[in-house]
Amino acid sequence: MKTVRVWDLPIRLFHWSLVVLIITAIMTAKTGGKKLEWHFLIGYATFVLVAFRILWGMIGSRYARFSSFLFAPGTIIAYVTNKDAARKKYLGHNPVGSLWIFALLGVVLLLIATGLFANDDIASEGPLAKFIDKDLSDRATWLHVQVCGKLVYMLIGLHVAAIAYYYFIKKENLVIPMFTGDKTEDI
Amino acid sequence: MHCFFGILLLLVAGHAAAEVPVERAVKYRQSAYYLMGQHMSRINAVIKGEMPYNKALLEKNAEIVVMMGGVVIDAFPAGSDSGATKAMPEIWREMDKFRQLMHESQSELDKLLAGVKTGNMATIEERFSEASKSCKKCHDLYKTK
Repeated sequence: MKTVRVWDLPIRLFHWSLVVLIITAIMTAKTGGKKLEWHFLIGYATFVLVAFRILWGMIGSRYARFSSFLFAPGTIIAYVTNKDAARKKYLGHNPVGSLWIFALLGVVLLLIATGLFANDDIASEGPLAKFIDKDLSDRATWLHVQVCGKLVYMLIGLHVAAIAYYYFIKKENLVIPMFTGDKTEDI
Repeated sequence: MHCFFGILLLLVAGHAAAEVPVERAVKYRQSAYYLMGQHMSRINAVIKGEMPYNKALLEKNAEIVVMMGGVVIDAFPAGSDSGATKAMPEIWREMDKFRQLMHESQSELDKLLAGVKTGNMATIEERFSEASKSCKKCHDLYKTK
């Protein structure tokens, strides 16, 4: 047994900050009123956070780098179909988990982009909505709320389900390493 | 027999004429909402400090919003659920509940106007927030996404 630092400190801070930002973004959007102003600020903060993650994906530590979890389609299929060669344990993101990461980053970026052009049909609009016509802004709103919003719920559901699957079926706790940063490796 | 059909035709025609044409009803409603939205946005701009505070102007904005609230509450005549509208058919199926929510919004808008008249920015901000939430409640339930 060997202890390995898998999630470096910036990755852990990124993870839990994103959890807080996504939850508060959902809450402020549901409440509306002056909380919508907070929703905008949360959006800007999320942009900074995700921009940092992308940078860290290039210059961060081993398991933070995109190159460590950018898998070929064949590797992903082999992992899903559980071929012998694919059973090796991945300490960082495994081939299927990596798809989730890219999906989440993509959806969050799309949420930020569409949010800038969205409007609430009451009294507020994203900072760039005034540069486009109302129909287009309405479509951005639809993408923001109806498409990306629902995709985020779906991705959160998958994330929690995967953690539960690992915890109950594979008897591996994935939550603790996201706090401590460490995992144990069998050698 | 001809007489019977004649009367029937007159009845149908008379009924149709009495109804507001759908497109006109929708345009009327959307115009009122457009004005309401414009003036809500102007109040919000003052709250956010993007526009200078001017008591008389802010009162005028709030008065227009209240007035438009009074217009839209009766701007959902039967049959105006088709064409280029985002009003969901549930409005007409649940007209009592819908009108109840509209009355609640109207009372929030009245409070906003009263708040604007006090000139207290904290009060204005709070009441504007509550009024917006009240608008949102109906949008969430009855406006096509």
